[in-house]
Amino acid sequence: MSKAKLIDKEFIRLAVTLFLITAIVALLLGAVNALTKDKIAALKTETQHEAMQSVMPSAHEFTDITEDALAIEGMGESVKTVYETEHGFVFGVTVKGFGGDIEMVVGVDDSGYTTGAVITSMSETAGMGANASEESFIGQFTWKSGELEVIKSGNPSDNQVFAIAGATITSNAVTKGINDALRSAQLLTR
Amino acid sequence: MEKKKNDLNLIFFGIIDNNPTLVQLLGMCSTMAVSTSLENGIGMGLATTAVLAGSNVVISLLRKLIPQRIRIAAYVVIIAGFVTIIDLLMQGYLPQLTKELGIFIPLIVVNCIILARAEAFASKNNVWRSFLDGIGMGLGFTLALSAMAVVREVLGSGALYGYELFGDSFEPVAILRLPPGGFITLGLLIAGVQKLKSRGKEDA
Amino acid sequence: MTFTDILRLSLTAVLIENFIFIKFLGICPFLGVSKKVNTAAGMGMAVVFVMGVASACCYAVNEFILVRFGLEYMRTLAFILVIAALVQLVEMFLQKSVPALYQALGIYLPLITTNCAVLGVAILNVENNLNFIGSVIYGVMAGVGFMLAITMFASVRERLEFSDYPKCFDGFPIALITAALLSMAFMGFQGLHVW
Repeated sequence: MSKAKLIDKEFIRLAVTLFLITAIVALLLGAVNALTKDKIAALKTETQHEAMQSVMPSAHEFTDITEDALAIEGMGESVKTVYETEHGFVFGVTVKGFGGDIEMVVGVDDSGYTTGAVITSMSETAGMGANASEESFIGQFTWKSGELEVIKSGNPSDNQVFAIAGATITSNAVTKGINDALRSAQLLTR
Repeated sequence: MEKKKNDLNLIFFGIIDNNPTLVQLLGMCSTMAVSTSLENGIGMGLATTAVLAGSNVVISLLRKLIPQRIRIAAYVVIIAGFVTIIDLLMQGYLPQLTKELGIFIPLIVVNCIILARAEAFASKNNVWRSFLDGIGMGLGFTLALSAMAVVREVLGSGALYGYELFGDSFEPVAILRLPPGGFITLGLLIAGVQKLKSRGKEDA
Repeated sequence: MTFTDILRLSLTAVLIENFIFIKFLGICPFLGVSKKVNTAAGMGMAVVFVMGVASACCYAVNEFILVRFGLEYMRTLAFILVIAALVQLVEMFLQKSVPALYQALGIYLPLITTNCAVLGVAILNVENNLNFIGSVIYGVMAGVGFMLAITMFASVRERLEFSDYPKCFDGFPIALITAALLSMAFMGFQGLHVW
């Protein structure tokens, strides 16, 4: 009887100590979070806005129409966010690349031509797939329309782009994202 | 004075004799995953050093208060706390690096080096010595990471710290940047360390 | 989730993004407990089990506590606590109810708390926005990938004992080189595109 009580007491002491440590750590984390939260959030909107501005330099107002747009039948499956501007639409697109998700922002104007694209986040292999963010590759996606196609060599026609050497999967993934954005823009302008 | 000198040796002990990665063979996951470029390697190394020094100090401070039976749980909570703080700070001030290191920042929690030092050193030594041990081990980890990163970045991408080293004629050894390159480089590096150590013994 | 989704997720977890060879998660137990095929398979099974249950529990904690109360920044702390408690519970449960299984897996269980593959899979589930079923499937299948990797690796290592190689490669280095070759083989799955 007394032994059982002793164990109980010991148990409670352990539980209380652990709880106290956890509580103090949690409080500290709350404090640090409060300090950094705004900074992180501001950074996020700033980078997003910068990306949107860079793919459609002529636009000034970006209105979030994601919810309504994604409800439309047949929207590209990789399209995650949609913003409307004076001259067209800006899409946030996420596709599966070689080393994980590739997030991009794509601008498409009212006439159905791309105004530009940037990659905002990816974990592609440095020096290979990661070259997707180089102007020589991603720059090919400006002023294109219709269904784009990746080629490895030869003379590209209007709707063809060159693959990144040694990174076919990445090239195809990015192109799929752009095609999804183009198709979605068509649906939205209709 | 004499004692102080001994304490400072703790730092070199962690960096060289008892290097956590190359000699103790701990913390392999992040070593191989983030050593694709020198910048990532140093960033990861310093983040780990900060967590290691912090958790060592706190655990050493509380070493008499934490009951034996729940010590591992308590250590894990303290370490996770430090990792989250570093994670939040990095998200706020080094967004690019945070993106590159990705999931391996929260995974510092389960880097065996940290728990191993808490259990083997900080729980038995005073605060100052634990702090030095944390710094030493952390720098040792950083050094090993950087050594690997230099090999992989120079040969695998033809660059160092992001700067191109060679002209276009240099054909990089792509495999070194890819996952197999992590295994190969670490294997060769440890083999080199073992060779050096065995030669030292034969001489003596 | 359609059947195709499940198949695609499984194939990705086991082969295309194998935790050991491609993602570098869970390397410590992979190198530490792979000298014998038997123990390697035992460790593998324990990991499959814990990763499945941990994915389910961490999903619940994330969805019903962290997200609801806006505490996402506590994720690392919450998940590691859940995993540590879970491993302890599983150990006690097996010891009492399934002694045979406990005999087989028991010694590996405590090691799993610091296996970064477990915490890794819990965080990846959240980052990839997987739903409950998806999380559990990804967890179990990533565990199967781990088991596959460690068993293959152990069977190669058993034979290494009788091979000739430079003395300084003894122990970890030769094991790492072996792992590199296996990793190269797994790179071959990268192009695998399912539907």
